[in-house]
Parts: sequence; structure tokens; C-alpha cells
Amino acid sequence: MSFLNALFLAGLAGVAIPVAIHLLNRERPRTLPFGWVALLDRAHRAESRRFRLREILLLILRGLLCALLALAFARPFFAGAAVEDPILPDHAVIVVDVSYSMRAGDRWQVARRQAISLIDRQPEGTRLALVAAARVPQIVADFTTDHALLRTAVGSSLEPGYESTDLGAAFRLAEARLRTAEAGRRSLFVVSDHQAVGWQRLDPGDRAADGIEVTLVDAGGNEANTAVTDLRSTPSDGAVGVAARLHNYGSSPRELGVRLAVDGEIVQSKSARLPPRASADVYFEDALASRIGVGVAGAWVEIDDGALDADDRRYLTLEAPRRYRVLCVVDGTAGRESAFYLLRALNPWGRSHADVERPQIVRPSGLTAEALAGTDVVFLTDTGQLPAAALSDLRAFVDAGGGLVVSCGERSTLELGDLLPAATVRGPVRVPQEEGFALLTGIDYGHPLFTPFRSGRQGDFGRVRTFAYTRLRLTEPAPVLMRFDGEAPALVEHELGAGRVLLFTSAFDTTWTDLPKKALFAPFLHQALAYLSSARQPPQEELLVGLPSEASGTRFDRPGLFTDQTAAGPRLVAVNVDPREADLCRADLDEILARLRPESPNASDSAQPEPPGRESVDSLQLEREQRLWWWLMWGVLGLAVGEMVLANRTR
Amino acid sequence: MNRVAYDNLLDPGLLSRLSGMDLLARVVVEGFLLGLHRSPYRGFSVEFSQYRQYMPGDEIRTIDWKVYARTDRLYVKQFEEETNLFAHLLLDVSGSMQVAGEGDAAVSKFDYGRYLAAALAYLLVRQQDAVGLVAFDDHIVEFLPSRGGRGHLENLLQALEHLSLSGGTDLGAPLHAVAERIGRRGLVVLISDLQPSAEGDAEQQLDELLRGLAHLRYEGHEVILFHVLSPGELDFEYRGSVRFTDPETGAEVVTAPERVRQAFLAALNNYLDRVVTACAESDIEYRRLDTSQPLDTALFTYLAARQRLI
Repeated sequence: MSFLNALFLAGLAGVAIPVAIHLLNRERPRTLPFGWVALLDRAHRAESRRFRLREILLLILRGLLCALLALAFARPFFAGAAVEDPILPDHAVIVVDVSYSMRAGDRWQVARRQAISLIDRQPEGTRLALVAAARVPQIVADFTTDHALLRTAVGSSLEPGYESTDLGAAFRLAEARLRTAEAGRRSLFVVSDHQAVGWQRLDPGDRAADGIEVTLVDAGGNEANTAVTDLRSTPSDGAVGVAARLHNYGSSPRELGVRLAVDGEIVQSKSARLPPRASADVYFEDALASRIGVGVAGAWVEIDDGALDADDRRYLTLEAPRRYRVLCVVDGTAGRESAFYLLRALNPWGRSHADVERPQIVRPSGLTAEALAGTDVVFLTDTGQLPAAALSDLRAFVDAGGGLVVSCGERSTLELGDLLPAATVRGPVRVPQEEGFALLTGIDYGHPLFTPFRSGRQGDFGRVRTFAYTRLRLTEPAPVLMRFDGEAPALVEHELGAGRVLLFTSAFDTTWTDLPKKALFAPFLHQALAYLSSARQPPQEELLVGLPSEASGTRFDRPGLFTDQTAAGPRLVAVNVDPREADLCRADLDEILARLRPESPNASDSAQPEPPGRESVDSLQLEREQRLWWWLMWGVLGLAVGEMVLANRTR
Repeated sequence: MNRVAYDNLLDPGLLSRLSGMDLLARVVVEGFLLGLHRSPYRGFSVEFSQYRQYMPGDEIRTIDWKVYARTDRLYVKQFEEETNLFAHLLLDVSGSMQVAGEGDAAVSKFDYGRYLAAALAYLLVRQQDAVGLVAFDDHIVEFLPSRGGRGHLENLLQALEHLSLSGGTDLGAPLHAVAERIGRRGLVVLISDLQPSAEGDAEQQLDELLRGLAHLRYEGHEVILFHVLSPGELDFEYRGSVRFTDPETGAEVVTAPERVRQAFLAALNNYLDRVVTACAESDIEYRRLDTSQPLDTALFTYLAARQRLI
């Protein structure tokens, strides 16, 4: 225990005051002749024991009161661990950036040296913790006085990975650890290249608590980086192309060689000229030339940069083009006429299209399991009642993942059991002549079916005029993807087993609507084919390093092409780095420091290597530890009340 | 002379300034009787040769027929004849009677007892009664047989004047001795603080006292007990640190009176209650006197008791 005002301890002599007062106040008894001494003596003996006890208690209370008062004024405090070490133990957290941007140039070597230097500069006994800052920060070593252990961790086991940086999250973690450490000086060092993107996720409330000294240690360089920031496959006319987007983060134009590799073999090489601080796209056509039917292939695009290797190569998986097999169910001659536009849109030249084989046409009675075998999508256009066997086979087909498109017409009954989520309320609803037509509204452009139409370049559904449609009543919840005049459902989706069903409540001919005459009709049908067929094959997934795969939950710690073991079997996945990390543009350290600095004007932080005066931290610490005098004053108050009660007690 | 003046004449503080028991006794009694003339206790007086209205039960021979002839009303005539009342004044002169109240004018229990005894003797003689004196502590130290007449009164008053305090208290033995020595039945007036000796058992001494009183009653005496106490003993309102000393034994108790007051008064009252109860059971007139009180209280008590005797 120590005292701030040890001189007041002299007041402990005040313990003698009550005793002195007691002795001084002991008057010499006057003598009185008294006859009843025998009775008085008996009363005196009985009472004096009780009064003597009270007097002793009062003396103790008054002595304690004086002693506590003196102690309270002396402002005592417990230094806790300082009993062993007169200097309060210091705490420091060193945050080291291990994102892949630290691989650029000699950043990591610089950062490592700085981190080791920081460890060496901490006084012996300082409790150090080490935090690795990546996408998710991790405590590599919690508070320890074993500085050699931390030096080894930084010197050998800590290496930059391939994840992006979230310095905000790392700061929050380190600050929280320091906030719980109550003794000594508290320091937080951030060793990083201090990319602007690394500090982007700093929340407005992120700020160091009072007494925490924040120092930003800069290990950044001035490399001019160029990266492959995006890679996409571009199916086109039965071929698969690859579009690579390159970005030049430097301030001077770059001329780069760009190569496409498929299954480990360079298949195409190109060059690209990149203006300063700009992007450029490079297309590789028919990347899977002569590889039709081979399934999924792994590919990458790489550039000759050298500033930062991790973002110079980007991976993707390519799927060999396939043709959809379509079965159209047509009910007689009239039905064939009503399917005219549909068949032309699916097969414009009367032969196999690039992505659609020549559609097969069957009557409802010909809708058998054999006919459905190998079919991707079935179109039912203006079809009446299906035979029970055909309906059963169609149900099994959809359940197994097949696609079904149902359109209405004069003959359609829509009696397809649970294949449809709706029942007919009323037959053809003809739009009154005075209203003219109904418009397609309420289109869910977020649905994959409308992905090509979001920009409007593929056509505008708002121009389609509909004169008649079938009014439905939904028998179970189902997404309505389009409506007529914002009310009656026009296109309803229904999932059944592994397959999907699309119900269009108007017709695919021109008697009810002019949709077949619109330019968007063919791409809409082909998008529907792709969408309905996709239920059978899981979409290719592009993964980022460190993020879990949706199919299996596996995390990959480096970029590349890997086999992901999913429940549906192994599949090839492309794992890439987060392209945002490729931007090596540095943050304004003064601004960052201003945001991280504690709000209290007494507490100070600095980007300067010299920490603030130790006195400020110590005084805060002392202020906390010497609150004991409060309790002593409460004790004084309690004793005073007790003394008052006891002294005024007559019995 | 108004009532206040009479009260002053009976004030023990003033009486202590008078020299001579004779003068003191005369002042007290004359003052008392003068006040009594106007007091509601007129009917108790027997000294005056006076008339009172006839009451059924009065003897026919006491009717004053002359007054009847003049007024046509029946009055009873009080005869001024020598009474056959023999009174004995028993005065405690033990050391404990030395105790006085606080203040310059305070008188001791002993002085108060002497004044009272002198006043009673004067009154008795004035009423043609015979009076004797017994002074005692643990034994009889002075004995004057009961006689009437002015000469005897002077002897008695002189004896009172020359009395001094002596040793310890033993209430029982002197009372038994007096009971044995007084042959003729009469009035026994005991003036004492009834204080037990600090050396003996208080309970035992109290029992002995009560047996002595009972002995007097057994002998056919009318007994009046004047229990004389100082105000300090009754209220125990002392302050500060006090060394209480027993005048008889020298025993001391140093204490803070305010602390023991309650316990002491409880014990004292218990003792006094026992005395009062015992007196009531023995048909003894008990009167507690505080030395700051005027003497007329005691004189009234005496007159009331005498009325019962004649």
C-alpha cells in the first residue's frame, strides 16, 4: 500500500485524542456524605459494567474515527502487481498485417523487422500480445512477458497469406484486449502497409479508449501494381469465351502480356495496354476450342506484372457448351398453329441451334417416359386434358429436375394436378375493348429469368400487349414473376422436387398477346431454357480465399483450382484473391490516427515514435487505484453515526 | 400576616437560623396554630376552649346548656382539662442523619428531626399532654420519661439542643428497648431516616425494624413514623463525579450519579415500599418527610393521630 499524501499519516496520532479527552475530563469526584451507600453500591456494581463497556466502545469508535480520517486524507492506494515491480506492468498489442498486399516488394521484410524492433524496444516485463490482421483478425499470442516467443512468431511462423485486410476489425480486437488490461501503459501498434482499402471498414465508433496509445507503423512501399480483377466466361454461339478485366493502379500506362491457360496449358496470349489508374478488358474467344462435351475445365488468366504476384493470376472454371433438348407437346393441328411462334423462337432455322437441339414435338398421348428421357425442358402449349399416364410421367420428370413451361390458350384446362400451384378461376379473360389491352407489369427483375433484360437492351416487356389471359387462383404460395396490369398473375414459378415449372397465363401465339412478335420473345425463351435446365447442375461458384464454399463449407487458404468435395460429388472450383486488396493505394495516416485517437483531451496518441508522457498514464492509473479514500470516508461517516447513537444512548 | 409568612416561619431553612430550641419550638407551633386557625383543618384542634355543633353520638354531658339558653342551639363544650396522653418522641441520632440536602440553607436530617421533635414537644405540652424523649443510634443514648409541664418542656428542649450524632444504626434493638421501658400506653413518634447500616444486611435490618415497630404496636402504643430523608436521597439528582461516603462506616462509592440514578431509585423505592406496606399492615401512621418541606405536614399528621387517641 502506498500513500499520495503520506504527511497526513501524522494524523494517526489523533487516535490519542479521545483517550486524552477522556483522561482530561475525568473530574476529581466531590465527596458527599450519603446514607444509602449499601443500596448505591449494589446499583453501581450492576450499572458500571455496562457503562464501562460502552465507554470502551466509544473510545475505540472515536479512535478509529480519527485514524480513518487521517488515512483517508493520506489517500492510500494499492499498487497490486507493483508490489513485485515498482513500475506498473505495461501492456502492448502489436497488430501485424498479413494480407496478401504485404507480399508486394519488400513490405513483409520491412514489416517483420519493424515488428521485431517493436518487441525488442518494449521494457522487460511488458505484457505483449500479437494479432495477425487479415480478413478476420486472429490473436497469435495473448499477453505474455515472453518476448522471445513473440520474436520467434514474427520472425519465422508469421507469413502473409492471400486474404484481404480488415484493419478496422484488427484494431477493434486489439483495443478490446487492451481495454481489459487495467494497469500500466497501454500501447497499440499497427504494423501494415496501410492500404486505404484496409482501413475502409473502420466504423465511426472505432476509437481507442482513454489511456491507450495508438501508433501506426508504416511498412508500405510505392509499388505500381497491376492486377487481373475480374474473370468471366462468355458463352456465345456454342463457344465459350473468357473476358478478363485488368486494372492499372499505377500512375503511368502499362503494356502487359496477358495469357489464358486451360487445364494448365497456355492456350492463348495477348497483349494489353492499360492507361494509368484505369481498367481494360481482354477477350479470349472460344477458350474451349475443340473441347465441347468435356465438361468443366479449369482455366486462369495471368499477366506479366511482378509488383504483386498474388493478383497477377485469376482462376475460373469453364463449362463446355451443351445443347438443351426440348420437347413440345402440341394438341392437334390447332395446337401446332398455336406453337408456331414457340417453335420458331426455339429453332429459328429448322435445325439444331447452337444451344438448342431441334425440338421434338409430340401429342399429349405421346408424352411418355421414353420421350422424356434425355429431355431438359417440356413445353405444354394450349394443351387440353393430359392422359393420366402422361401426367404421371411428366410429374416424375419434373420431380427429377426437369423443367416445364406451361402456356395457356383456348383449349388449355390447366388440370395438371400438383404440377401447378394454381387453379383456373375463370377461362379466358378478355380485356374489354374500351381498355384495349393489358400490360405486363410487376416484373421481378431480380429473378435470374430476367437477368438479360435488366438493362433494357434485350427488349422491354412494357411494350407487350395482351388481349386475353386466364385468371388464376393460387392454391399455394408461389412467386409471381409478372402480372397483368399489376393484378392478375402473368408468370408464376413453382418448384416441385428438384425441378421447376413456369406457368404463363396467356398464350405463346398472337391470338391472345403480341409477345411472340416481340424481339425479346426468343431470348426470353432461351433464358427460360437455361434457367430451367440449371436446376439439374449446380452453378459454378467462384470462391475467395478464406471464404467457405456454399456447397461444402470448405475454406481454401490460397488461390488456385481445387476439387471441392460436395454432397453431390467432387467438383472443380476456382479460388481467387479478393481483387480489392490489389489496390495498394495508401491511407492518410494522420487522418486514420485522428479517427482512432481517444476522445479524452488528456489522452494522446501519436504517429510519432515517441509515446506521450508517462505521467498522464500513471496519473490515470493512480486516480483509479487511490479511490480507497472514498471507502475510508464512508467508514468515517458510519463510525460517526455509530458514535452518536451510542453516546446518546441512556440505557 | 398572610399565609406565605406562616409558611416561611415553618421553613426548615429559616428555622436553622434561630438560636435555641425553645424559641424555635414556639415559633413553629404558634405559627402553625395561627395558620391553622384559618386552615380547613380547624376541626382537629382540641386546644381551644371552643364550641362545636352537637353531633349525634356526642355525650349529653358535654352540651353547653348556657349557650343553648342563649342561642337555642346545641353546642358541645370542649373541656380545658389535663389530658392523659403520654407521648414519646424517638429521635434517631445515628451517623446517617448527618446527611443534608445541597445548598446553603439546607438542613441535615438530624437538625430537621430535632426541629420536628421540639415543635411536637411544645405542642404536646401546650395541649397539657405529657411528652418524653428517646434519642438512639444502635442503642438508647438519651431517655427522658414522659411528663407534662413547662419545666419538663424546657429540659426536653435543652436535651434536644445538646444532642449530637453518634455511631451506627441498629433500629430494631432501641425500639424493643423503648417498648419494654414505656409502661403506659400512649403515642410513640419515631423520627428517623430508617437507614440500614452499610455493614449489615439491609433486608435483615429492615425486618428487625419492622419487628421493633410491631413490638410497640403490640404494647398498645399509637405509632407515628416520620421518615426523614434529604431531597438528594429521594430524587438522586446529583451531577458529575461524586464520591459518596457513608458517615457511619466510612464506606465509599465513586460513581457518576446520572448513570446509576435509575437503578438506585428503583432499589430505594423498593425498600421504601416495603416499609410503607409493613406500616400499613401494622396500622402505623407513616409520613415521609423531605428536609426541604415545612414542618406543618408533620404537625398535621400528629394532630390527626392525636384526634384518634382522645
